Amino acid sequence: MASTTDSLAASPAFTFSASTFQKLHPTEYFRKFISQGVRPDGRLLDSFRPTTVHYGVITTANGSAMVRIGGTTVVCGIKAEVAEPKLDSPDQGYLVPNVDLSPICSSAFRPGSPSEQAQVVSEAIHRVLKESKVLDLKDLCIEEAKAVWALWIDVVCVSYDGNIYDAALISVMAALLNVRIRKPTYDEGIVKVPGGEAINDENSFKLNLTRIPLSTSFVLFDTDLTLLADPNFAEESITQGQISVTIDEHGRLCRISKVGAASTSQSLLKQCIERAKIRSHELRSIMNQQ
Amino acid sequence: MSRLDRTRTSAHQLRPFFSSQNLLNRSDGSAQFDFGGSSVLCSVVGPAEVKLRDEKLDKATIEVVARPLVGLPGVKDKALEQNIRESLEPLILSGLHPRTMLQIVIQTMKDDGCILSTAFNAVILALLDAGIPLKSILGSVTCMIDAQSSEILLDPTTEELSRARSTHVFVFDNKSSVQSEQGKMNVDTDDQEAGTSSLAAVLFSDSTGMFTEQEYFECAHFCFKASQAVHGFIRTAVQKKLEKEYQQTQA
Amino acid sequence: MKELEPSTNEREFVLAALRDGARIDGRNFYDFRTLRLSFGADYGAVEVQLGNTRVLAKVSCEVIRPFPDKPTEGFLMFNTELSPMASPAFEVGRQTDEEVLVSRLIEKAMKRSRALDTEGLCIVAGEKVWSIRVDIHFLDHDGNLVDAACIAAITALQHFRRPDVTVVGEDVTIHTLEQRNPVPLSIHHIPICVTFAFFDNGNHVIVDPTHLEEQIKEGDMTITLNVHKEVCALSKAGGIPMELDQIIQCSKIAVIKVAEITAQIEAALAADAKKR
Repeated sequence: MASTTDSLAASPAFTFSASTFQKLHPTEYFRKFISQGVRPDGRLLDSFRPTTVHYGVITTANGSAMVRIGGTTVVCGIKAEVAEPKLDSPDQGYLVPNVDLSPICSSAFRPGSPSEQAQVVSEAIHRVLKESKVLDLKDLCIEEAKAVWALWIDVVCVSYDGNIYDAALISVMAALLNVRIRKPTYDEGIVKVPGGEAINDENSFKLNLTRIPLSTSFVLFDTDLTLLADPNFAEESITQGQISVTIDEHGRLCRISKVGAASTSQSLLKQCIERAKIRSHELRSIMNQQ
Repeated sequence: MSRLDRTRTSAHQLRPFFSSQNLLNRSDGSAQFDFGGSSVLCSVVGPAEVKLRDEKLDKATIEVVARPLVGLPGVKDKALEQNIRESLEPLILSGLHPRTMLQIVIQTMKDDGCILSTAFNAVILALLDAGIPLKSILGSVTCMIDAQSSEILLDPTTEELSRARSTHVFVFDNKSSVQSEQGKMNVDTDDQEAGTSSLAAVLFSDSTGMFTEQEYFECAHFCFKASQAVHGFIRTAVQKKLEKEYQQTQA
Repeated sequence: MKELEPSTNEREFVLAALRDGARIDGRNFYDFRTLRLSFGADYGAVEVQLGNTRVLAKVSCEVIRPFPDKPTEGFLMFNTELSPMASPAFEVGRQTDEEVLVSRLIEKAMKRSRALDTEGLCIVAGEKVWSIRVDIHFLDHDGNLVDAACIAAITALQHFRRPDVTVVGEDVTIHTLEQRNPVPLSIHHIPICVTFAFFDNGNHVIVDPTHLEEQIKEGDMTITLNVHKEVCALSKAGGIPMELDQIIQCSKIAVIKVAEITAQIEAALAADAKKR
């Protein structure tokens, strides 16, 4: 920051502080940094913010996790409930992800019905869980055509500073890994879930996840489409395009999405995939540390 | 290999296209686009009065409203709205109409798979019909990878999609396709080595399921080739419409 | 976006024409605009064009649990949200007065007149019933949305086929369209709406007003009838007061119109059935 202030101070006719410049011309301010290969928060263009994962932060939920990526904090809680299956899929349970971006996490969101962004992220997570077959829904069956488990996956954003999709997906996967459900008994139309004693391996079960997809997002800045990894809120608001690559632990792709900005070359997409492979590896070691 | 819908013979064949423009009276532009049994109607109003809350000082505000065939608009429709709006924003010369609104309404009329692609093509035809200044036109094609045979099927039906391992939606604009054609002539050998048309720039991509990097770029390649047919179709549709309008002014 | 009011010139022109016994689109007072019905590839999808007014109706069904107090009754639901496609004056998520009136009128005409046999939608009493859903999409608004929507809805319900089911004890099997021929819904009668608009204190009465005529009118009335000359619903919400004789006169006109429209719907359905 010091260098920018110095260079501006050198022009005698018209001077103002760096923070005024940032407020007046956010894009131009940002461009000055990018031309030097760094970002205003000190990161390189392709570096990510510090990420942490904590499991089991909500004791009343069947599974939960808290994820921090820089200034973005999300908490995911999973609640298992007994429900009636659909007529056309009598042996399949339900996965219902929902992302909540309330005014508590950022002034950019208004109270009331869910914002467009919250709905879009919920839908993206739902599709990844469903179409990449993260979990066999038949594992959630208690008694065919009578009772199944419905997993309510609620992601609450506590503090919003960009890149919500990555943070939400990590928290969902971490919470799914954390899920423990007490073994139910089915008898003549009544499902009994025993309570009381502490949860142990005998009286509960874990989910059998076939894969753990994790995502890496980038934004495209300016007309020359400079790639910025893990954007924060300020970066998201001055860029138009976003690329997200979701990869499982074997390096197979689960989702690629490129929305907005001008057409990008396929070599740029390849670059994103390569970078996402490394990042997903890093994320997995962070998740395993706990 | 014959397809499940029995009307097509090849995996890379698209369903017949159909389009008509200027069907609606109350909107400034409208178009319907069909991919076989899928059909989307789109209307465009603008530049028009903008709500004070949405007003932008340097460009037009673009609003996209998507409505499903059955039921109330849900999360899926919101995702479709966002995808279309953000892909169109760089395409529309919105700086020419500051402090106005451009409203795009998308209505699914028939659903037999590939609604997102059909909607993209309908929207661009409606924008052309409304006379909205555009940087380029776009064409969209969907493909899927079959879970059993791992074969790439273009423009799948709902029945085929139920057997998909992954689905891929691509949008290419006509600017990038011109570039890649020129590129092909110059660096033909490079292109063949890569095995994909690595020069075709992607305007929009949305893939979900399970797939490898190689499969993804193969899908991009086939969709790009097929999107050329869509581009050609859109160009002919506009040409025919203009010819008709010219004849009417002469008569 | 606000609706533009017609200019004084336009208004005077339309009124002057009516006083001379003419309408600006060349119709007689008691003429409907050309009615066109087209069917989709699926059962239960109908597009109706009434002049420039365009409505799409789509019928769908699902199996759900009935209310405990009405264990044998199925459901019939209407979705009549007006889309900004029909007119930029309609906003998403905010209902105008006109919108509420149109929705209520359609619901009254179709649902309260018991056109559909909801008891026939029962599969297993207290357990499973069919829920029939009619989504009405307004594509283009050039007046008289109610009549067009009713024609679309009732035609779509007649065109619709639901999957066949077999019940053995408690087990219910739903057969796909390939396995067994789907079955039509049982419909008691065919209610048709006819809308009138009044000008000059009710001296001029016209049928099927266009959007411009609707903006200028002093009052309106919608009569819902079937071919058996039974009145299903009658709605005259506000506007100028009318003589009783005039209302009877209107209902006589409506009887003729309903017969014409019903015949046209039947012909269209028969032509479509032949093609399948």
